[in-house]
Amino acid sequence: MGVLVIGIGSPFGEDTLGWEAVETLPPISGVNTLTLDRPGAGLIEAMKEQHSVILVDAMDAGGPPGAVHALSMDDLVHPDTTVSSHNLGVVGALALGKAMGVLPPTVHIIGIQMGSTPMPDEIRKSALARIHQQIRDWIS
Amino acid sequence: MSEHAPHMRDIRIEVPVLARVEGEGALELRAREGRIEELRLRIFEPPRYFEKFLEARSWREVPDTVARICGICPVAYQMSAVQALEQAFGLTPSEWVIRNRRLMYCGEWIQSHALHVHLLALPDFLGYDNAIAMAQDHPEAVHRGLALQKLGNDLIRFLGGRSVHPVGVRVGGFHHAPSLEDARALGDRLDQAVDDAEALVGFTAGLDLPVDEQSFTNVALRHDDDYPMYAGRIVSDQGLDISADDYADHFVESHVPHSTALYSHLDGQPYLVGPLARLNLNLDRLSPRTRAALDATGLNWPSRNMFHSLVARAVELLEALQEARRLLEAYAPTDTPYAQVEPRAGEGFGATEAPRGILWHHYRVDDEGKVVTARIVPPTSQNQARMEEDLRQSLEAFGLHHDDDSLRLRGEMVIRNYDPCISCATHFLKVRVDRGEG
Repeated sequence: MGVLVIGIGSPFGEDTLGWEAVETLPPISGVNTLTLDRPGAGLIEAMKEQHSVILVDAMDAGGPPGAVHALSMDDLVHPDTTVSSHNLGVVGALALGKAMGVLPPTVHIIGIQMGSTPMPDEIRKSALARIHQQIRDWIS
Repeated sequence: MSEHAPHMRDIRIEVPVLARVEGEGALELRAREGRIEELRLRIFEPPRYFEKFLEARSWREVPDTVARICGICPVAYQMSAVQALEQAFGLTPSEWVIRNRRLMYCGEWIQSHALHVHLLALPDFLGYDNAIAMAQDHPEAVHRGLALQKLGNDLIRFLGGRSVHPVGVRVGGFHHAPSLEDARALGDRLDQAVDDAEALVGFTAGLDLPVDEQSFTNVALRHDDDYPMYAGRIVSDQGLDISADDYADHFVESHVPHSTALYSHLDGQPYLVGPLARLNLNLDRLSPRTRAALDATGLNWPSRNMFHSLVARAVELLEALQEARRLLEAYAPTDTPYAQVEPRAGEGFGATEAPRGILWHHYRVDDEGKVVTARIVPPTSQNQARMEEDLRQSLEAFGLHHDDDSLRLRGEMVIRNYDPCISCATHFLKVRVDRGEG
């Protein structure tokens, strides 16, 4: 069974980190990649009928820029009343997909702590390397 | 224990955050002795100053800038803007451009209405707190909504390059003409969607929707031939019939202390824009298949029940899907997807039907085509006075004897009928700076 790695982001500032992590991932046998621009509920469609998905997204968890968080679905607290027309975020989309019973059996999430300004190259490279290693660890 | 009968009790209700609407707003209600004394739809979303951002920018930048005002209706902002700028430059776009602008607009209606009906409104009428709770028992409804939304997004992407803040639109036309192959691939997906939307019309009409007849003025575009979307005159059921150029002579915006969005009145009165008003004023512009689906609901149209907005959205979804199929079937690529622009000083007006109602733009430009002034009136701010009027009437008709939770829920349901986009409505705040220099 293959693994789909999805980078989530937008073209703005450090929100590109999820895309960058996926685009720089060295080819791995059995792993497909995809980048999505603020997919909202479209994330559910992208994950449907997959066996194993790894999501990579910039996040703000209060740590230092470049910190990498390996998370599971259980780690996410979904804001259950914030489904609005514009901002069904990753957490809301995952909660909706779970309620519909269409999420893959395995879902991992990697969050990269973003800062308000671009992080120095050294920190960035280090963060991307740790993300790539985490992906390899999960699929091995 | 209160000394009053239940319907005479003092009520103070605050809904500090409105769920399932876009942007930051709140509802405050105070009632005494069975009458509403004060009702405020407070909009405190910060002002966004887009009109100021546009000043001194080139005409080339306007379509991409205004698309950023809204993540759900960027196409509407682009369409009203290019219309206005083309009028200012004396440019008439080709028939190819007009047809495909309408096609792209169909995509926006489809994704916006599909999301509203299935994820935002339906939980109210099926008895759930939100779409996530509803999805456990009604996954098929959510599936249908998401599939239709995706189709709408793909239609936007077809011409816009991407569905969020699309970049394919320019003054004069489109940057790029999509391939025939892509058009056919999209068209192949529409048959099933049309069938789904037809069933949705009957499904929404069959819901146990509250009966709440009210008196209000409907305002919408009206086109000679088409169900209004990209073009038409601004009409009302009170005899108004004007071009976009004359909008400011009839519609007046004003501030209220509790809102960062402007209120809008027509001849001093609140009015309604959006799907219900559009449908009420354009029943004779529906395609035969949509009209048949509407007639089969057994509901009386035009409707004075704001809760029929849900049915109106389903009807418009069916209409937009059929229109998109018709336009895609006739689609042919072109080598000239845009007309050359020759900037000149002037002014122009644009009015199109965003999913939530009329979106009006007015620009003055200099001889290089740089924006001198911009004015944008979105549908949610036009509906704001009507929403407050509706809330007052609806809650009194519902009965103030209901407990606070029931009143709160009914108030939220009334607001959600308008599918308000508060973020869109709050870029108008005028700021006066007192520097103490006088």
